[in-house]
Amino acid sequence: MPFVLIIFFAILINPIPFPIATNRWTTAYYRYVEALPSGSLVLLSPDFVAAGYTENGYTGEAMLKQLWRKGADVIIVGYQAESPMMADKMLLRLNDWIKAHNLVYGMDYVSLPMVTGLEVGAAALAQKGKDLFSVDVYGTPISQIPIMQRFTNYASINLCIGMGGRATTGYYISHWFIPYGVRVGDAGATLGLGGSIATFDKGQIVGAVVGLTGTAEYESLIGEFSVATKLVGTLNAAVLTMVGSVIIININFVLKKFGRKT
Amino acid sequence: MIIAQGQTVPFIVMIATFGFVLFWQWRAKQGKKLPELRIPAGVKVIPQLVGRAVEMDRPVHFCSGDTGLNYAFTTALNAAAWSILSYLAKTCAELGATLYVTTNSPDKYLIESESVHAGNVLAGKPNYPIDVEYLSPDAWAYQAKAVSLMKERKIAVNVMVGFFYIAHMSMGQGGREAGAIGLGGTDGGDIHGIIPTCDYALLGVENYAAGAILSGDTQLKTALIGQDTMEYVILGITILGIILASLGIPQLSQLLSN
Amino acid sequence: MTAYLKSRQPVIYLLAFCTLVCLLQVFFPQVPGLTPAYGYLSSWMSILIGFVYIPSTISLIVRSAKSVQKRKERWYVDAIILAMMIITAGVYLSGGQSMSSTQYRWIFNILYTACQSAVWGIMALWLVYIPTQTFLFKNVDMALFTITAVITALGVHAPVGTAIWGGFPIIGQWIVNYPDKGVSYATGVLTGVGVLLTGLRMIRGQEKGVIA
Repeated sequence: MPFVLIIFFAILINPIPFPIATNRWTTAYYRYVEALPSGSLVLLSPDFVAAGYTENGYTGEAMLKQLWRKGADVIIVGYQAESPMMADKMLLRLNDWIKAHNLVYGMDYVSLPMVTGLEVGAAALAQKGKDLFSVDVYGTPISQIPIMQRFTNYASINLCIGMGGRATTGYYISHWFIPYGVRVGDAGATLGLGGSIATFDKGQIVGAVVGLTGTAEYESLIGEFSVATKLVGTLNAAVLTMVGSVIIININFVLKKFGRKT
Repeated sequence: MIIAQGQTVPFIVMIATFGFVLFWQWRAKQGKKLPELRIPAGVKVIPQLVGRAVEMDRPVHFCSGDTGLNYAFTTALNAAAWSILSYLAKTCAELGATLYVTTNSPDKYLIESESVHAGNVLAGKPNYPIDVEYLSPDAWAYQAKAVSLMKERKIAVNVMVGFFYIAHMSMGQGGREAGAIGLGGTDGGDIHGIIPTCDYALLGVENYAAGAILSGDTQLKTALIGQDTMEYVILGITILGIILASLGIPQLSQLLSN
Repeated sequence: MTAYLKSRQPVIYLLAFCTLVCLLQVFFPQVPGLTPAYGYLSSWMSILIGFVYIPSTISLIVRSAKSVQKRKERWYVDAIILAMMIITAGVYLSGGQSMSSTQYRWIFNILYTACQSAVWGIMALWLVYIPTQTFLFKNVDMALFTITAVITALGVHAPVGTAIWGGFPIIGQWIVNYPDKGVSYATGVLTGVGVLLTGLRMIRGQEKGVIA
C-alpha cells in the first residue's frame, strides 16, 4: 500500500503527458461555434460550485476564448447562488487575455446576477430577456449596458450553454430548444457524461465539452493550452490508483475465497 | 396547429395514460378482478428494518438525495421519496424508533419536516419528535457530514431514496461501515451506486409505486395498473420500432417524432 | 370555515389549478391568457423558492447556536459556521450588496473556494477507497459490474487508458454508446410515465406524504 501511495503522489507532482484523442461530441461543439457568424449573442451559465472549477471553470475559460475569437458577444448569467462568483473568477483569470484582445465589458460581454427559480427562471428568461434585470452584478443599470439592449427575448440568442451538470442544460433544452429552437451547448461534469452523450445523439444539443478530459480535448482543438491539459496527468494518476487498488483487492479477495493467502 | 410543435406525441401519451388509469378505475368500481401487483422487497421490508432499529436501540437515518428541487424529474422522485419518508416516520412513531433526516437543500427542508409530521399524525402521535437537519448545500460537504453523523450515531438503518448526483456510493458505504442495513431507491444514473452498497433497492418506477402501494388505497392501485399498462404499450411500440428500423422502414420513427 | 381552511382541500385545489395551467401551457401556448397566467405563477414560484431559504437558514443558526451553548461534541465547528455566516452576510450587506465589494470577493475567492476545494480533495481519498470495498467479485453480477467500471474508466475518462491498450477506448465507447445509452433511454421513458402518474396523484390529493 505505501508503494502505491508513493507512485500516486509521484505522478501527481510530475504528471506524465499522454496524447489526448478528441471525442465526437467535443468536436461537434467546436465546429458549431466555429461556424457562428460574427456578432452572435451567446448565453453562458456557469452553474457550478467553487470546487467544481477544475471540472467546469477551465471549460468556461476555453469556451469564452473561442466565442470571443469568433466575434460573438457573451451574456454570462446563471441560476445558482454561486454563478456570479464563478463568472467573476473566470473573468479575473482571463483578464490579461481580455486586455490583449481589446474586449470591452458591456460591449463584448456582461455578467448578470443570478436568475432565481431554476427551471422556472430559465423559462422566464426566454420570454422576458433583459426585463428580468435592473442592474448587472457590479450594480450598473441595464439601460447603460449596450450588449443588453440586444437581448429582448429568446429570439435574440444564437446559442445557450449550460455548465456544471445537466440541470441547466436540461432547462435550456426544455424551455429554449424544444419550444423555440434556440440551440444549446453543454459543458457538464464527467458524472453526467452518459446523459450528455444521449442528448447529443438525440440532436438536442450541438455538442458537449464534458469534464476535465473534455476540456483538455477542447483546448487542443482551439489551440489554447491551459491548466486543464496539465491537470489531465493528475486525472490519470487518480484513475490508475483507483483501478490498481480494485485489481489488487480483487486478486486478494479471490485468492482468499479459494483458501489461499497473499 | 392546435397543439404546440413537437408536443403531439407527448400529449397523446399523456391522454392515453390517463385513459388507462380511468379504465382500470372503472373496472374496479364494476367489481371486476384486478391484476395482482408485485410489492417490491424494499417496500415490504420497512417495518422489519424499523423493528431492528428498535431492538438495537439505534436510530434510523433517511435522506432524499443530494440535489435540490432542480428540475422536473428530480421533483417527482423527491415526491415519491417523501411518501416513503411519511410511511417511515409513521412506522417509527408506531414502534418507538428514533428517526433523523438529513437534507442538503433548503427547498426540501420544510417539506421533509412536514412529511415527518404527517407520518406522526397518521400514527396517532402528533407530538412525536421531528429531527430534520439541514447540513450543507454543497453535495460533498453534505455527504462528509452525513457519513460522519451515521458513524457517530451508529445508525441501524440507512434509507436513501431520491436523486443522487454524486453521494450515492459514499453514503451507502458510510452507512454500511456504521453497521446499518441499507435501503436505497433511485431512478436515474445513480443506480450503480445504490445497488452495490445497499441491501435492498427500489429501482426506477418502484419508487413511484412505493407511495401508492404503502397507502393500500384501491384507487392508487388502479393508477399503478394503468401506469404499467402504458409501459407495456410503450414496450410494444419500441420493439416494433426496432424491427421496422432494422428493416429500413423509418415511418414509425418519423411519426413518433411529431 | 376555520375547519375547512385547516383541511387539505384548499391546498389540493390550488395545486390542481397551478398544475393544470402549467401543463396546458406546454401543449396549448396560443390559448389566450394561458401564457400570461403561467408567467404569473412562475413569478410566484421564484418568490416561494427564495422564501424557503429563510427557515432552513434559521434552523441551521439555531442548531449551531444550541451546539455552542451546550458545548456539544465538536461545538467549535458550529461556532466557526456561525461566525463565518455573520461575517460574510455583514461584509456583503455593508459592501453595497454587489460584486464590487473587494472584501466579499476576497472571502469567496480565497477562503470559501479554498475550503470547498479542500473538502472535495479530502473526499477524493474516501472516493478512491470506496471502490475497493464495493467492486468485489462476490458474484457474477458484481464481477461484470467491476470489469465494466474499470474498462469505462480507462477507456473514456482518462487518456492513460489509450496509452495502456488501444482496445480500452474502443470497448469503453461501445459500452457508453450502446448499453449505457440504451438503459438510460429505457429508464427515462419508464420513469417519465411514473412522473406523470405521481403528478396526477398529487393533483388528486392522494400523495399524503407531500401535503400534511
